[in-house]
Amino acid sequence: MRRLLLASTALLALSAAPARADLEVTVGGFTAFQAGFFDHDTATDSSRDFTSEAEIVVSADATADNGLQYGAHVQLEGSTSDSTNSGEVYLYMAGSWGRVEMGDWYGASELAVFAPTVGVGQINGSYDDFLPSTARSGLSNANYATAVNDRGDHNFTALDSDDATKITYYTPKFSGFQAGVSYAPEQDDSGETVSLTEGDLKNMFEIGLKYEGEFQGVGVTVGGLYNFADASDLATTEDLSAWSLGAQLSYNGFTFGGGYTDNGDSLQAEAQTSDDITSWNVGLTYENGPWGVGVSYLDEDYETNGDTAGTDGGDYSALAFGGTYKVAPGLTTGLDMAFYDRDRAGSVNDEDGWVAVVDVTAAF
Amino acid sequence: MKTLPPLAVALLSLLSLSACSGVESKAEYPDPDRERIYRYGSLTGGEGGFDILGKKKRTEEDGQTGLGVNSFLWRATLDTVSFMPLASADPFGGVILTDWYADPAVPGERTKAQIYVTSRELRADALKASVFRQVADGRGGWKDAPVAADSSKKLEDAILTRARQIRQSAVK
Repeated sequence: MRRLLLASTALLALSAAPARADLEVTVGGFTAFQAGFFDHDTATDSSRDFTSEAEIVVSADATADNGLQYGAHVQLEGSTSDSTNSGEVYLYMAGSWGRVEMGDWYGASELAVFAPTVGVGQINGSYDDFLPSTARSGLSNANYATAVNDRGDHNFTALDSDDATKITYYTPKFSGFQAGVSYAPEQDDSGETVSLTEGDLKNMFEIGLKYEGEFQGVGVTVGGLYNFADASDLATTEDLSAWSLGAQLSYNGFTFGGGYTDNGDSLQAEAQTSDDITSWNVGLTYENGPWGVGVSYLDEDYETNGDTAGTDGGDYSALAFGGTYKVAPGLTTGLDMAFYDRDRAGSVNDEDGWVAVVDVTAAF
Repeated sequence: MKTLPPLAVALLSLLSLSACSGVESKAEYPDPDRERIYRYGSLTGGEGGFDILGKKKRTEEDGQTGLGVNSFLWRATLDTVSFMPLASADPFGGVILTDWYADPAVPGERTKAQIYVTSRELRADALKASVFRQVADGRGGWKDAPVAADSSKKLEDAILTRARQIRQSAVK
């Protein structure tokens, strides 16, 4: 009798297993409309344009009977101007041991902490979509340009591999501490691209550490990154080695914070000396219910004594103010105003100006 | 041969920490796009996105959580009749029954209210209120008396106004 019971229980367990899988498939996304108004040095430039961006996010998440959480995530780019169908795709597995993410997805550099922002994003916002390309990072170094991450075109965290195909491992949060490490064989490859030749940057590691805690109502967040990669054996550029450190304090709706980044001489020509790139940023935000306001400042310093033309040297700074209002759940409006200044070391013309961005976003 | 960077050492020590007991561990991982997209909520309510298998519904902000009836109407009702003693409240059936309440300003008279919340949706017709009144009969007892025709309507209006206010503040 007991044996029969055991056998039938086992049968039941077998047949019940797939039914118990806790599966959830969600579809979400957003559409954003932005109106940009600007004034640049180039006299022939226009002074306004509209942009729109849309994404559809599909994810499937499940928990297996043994407790393993797993899922797939596909982000479809919906803008009419997007040449690729999907922006980011990854799958993950997670458990009490942490989480592993595999695919075209952001790496451990997401543990970085920098100036707080609201709404459109101030120095981390889309004002730089309306900048002339010459005023952007302004570096003629092609290696550097492809390595520049997607936080604006300016780096306020260490150079990373953005959403190149990679594997990332995150620890769970232990008493507020969390660490992550990513590996991307080729910094510039995503999707089905296979690099048979030497890429510009290979064996890219991102290591991040973050702490989040609260002491008597004051929220404290500290994050650091160390990223490194090998430059191509064929090219005569320096290896990538970059770090950044940032912190935020928040109290009663106010958040104050900033960060410092040292990209060193990553990817600069080997022969070149005194060619470090560093940057710092600082910001303050206040959020109260549906309202938020923020101001932040970014300063980048390009040390390029080796560059005689002076195109690369000098500095870039941006001061941005912004406000946001949540009209209803998922419907947000925002206004950002940014003033930028790109000073160059040599005889190349400096560029400065301002950009105002009005944003309406609906997320579902 | 590269030496181990300090952050890697920190990572390793953090991993060894996980073996210790007494350290609180939370399964929270960075998801930059989700933070970016849903920082200010979602049209579908809750965490954003809708379940194509029909499991995840717009719940939180429609006031359908936990209770058998609409939580905005339920909370608004409790708020509105909070000045009266409560005899019974059944959140699953949606019945709120107050005890007799005598207003010190109007001696010799007492009232009682009975309110039904009949739907999970936030709708005006999901609310039904009845008001009862008794007057002192002069011999230490009470006898039923008619109420003003519009008093139930007024109570319903007050509750609906309050429900709207609660919803507005929940939506922010």
